[in-house]
Amino acid sequence: MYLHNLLRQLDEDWTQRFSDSPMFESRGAFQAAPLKPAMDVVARGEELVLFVELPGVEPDSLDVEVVDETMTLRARRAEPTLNDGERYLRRERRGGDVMRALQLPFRVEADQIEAHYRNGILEVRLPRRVADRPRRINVRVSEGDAPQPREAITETNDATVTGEGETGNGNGNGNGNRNGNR
Amino acid sequence: MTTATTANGTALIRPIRPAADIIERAADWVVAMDVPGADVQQLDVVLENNELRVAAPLRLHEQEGDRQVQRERPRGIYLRSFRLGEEADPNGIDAELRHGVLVLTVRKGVEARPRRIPVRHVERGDGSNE
Repeated sequence: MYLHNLLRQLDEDWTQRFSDSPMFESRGAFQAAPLKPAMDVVARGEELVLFVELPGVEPDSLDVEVVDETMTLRARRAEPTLNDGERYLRRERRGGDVMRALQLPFRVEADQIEAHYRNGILEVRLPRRVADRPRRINVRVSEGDAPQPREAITETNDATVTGEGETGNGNGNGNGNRNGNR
Repeated sequence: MTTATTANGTALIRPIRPAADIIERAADWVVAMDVPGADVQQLDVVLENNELRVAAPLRLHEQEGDRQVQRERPRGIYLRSFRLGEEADPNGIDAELRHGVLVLTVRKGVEARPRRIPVRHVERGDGSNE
């Protein structure tokens, strides 16, 4: 599927999670790359909905930016500050800058983007631009011999009320055409 | 890690081991665990036989009719346990969930806390200080 492949492609290099970075031990020696959070993406109607794992992030640091068809998410995860005499007995979590970019399969309605942060999960809803959504175009049929109304038949045939009712609607359009021809 | 499966091989509950930090402070230990997507109502912290067990099912947000585009988050239940030493005070355990991080504070028993030993000042007229 197009959408699926596109997102997969862009994300193939994601290797770093909060806990299993190979840079973890030597972080003091050089600046580590930003953390890349795990993320689920679903298509819901005309929206793309993201669920990003961001445990322990400072809510004020959360930043979601959409430029054209690229969404960039930034956040900061603080590390605990140890006072004198305090020490790590075990250290598996990492802090620092968090960043994730995503190429979107469509342009979004920028002022309708919604983002909620709860229980360490950031949910972002990206609605597709209304102008770009597929629209069904009504096909008008112009025919010299527009069908004659059949209301009379519908009303007398009680056994197939539903089916005839639909035919009746079709005849409604026929009426419209007839009016136009007047 | 074990995974419970049904007859047709579908995973029922997959344990997820959350990343954890343990920091020792003067009067307590602080255990911080990443449990994004865990609800506080379903978070279980149990102390039994000096073992502190954490279990929290991971809540997913998908709705019916959603089409999966990308799936990276794990499915299952967060499980992790810690053995407490004799020095821990079993009545001094506190748990708090903050933005997807479970923070457990385990108080040290009085014996395990650092104590300042007062130094007695002994100065006699023996001339040693001069």
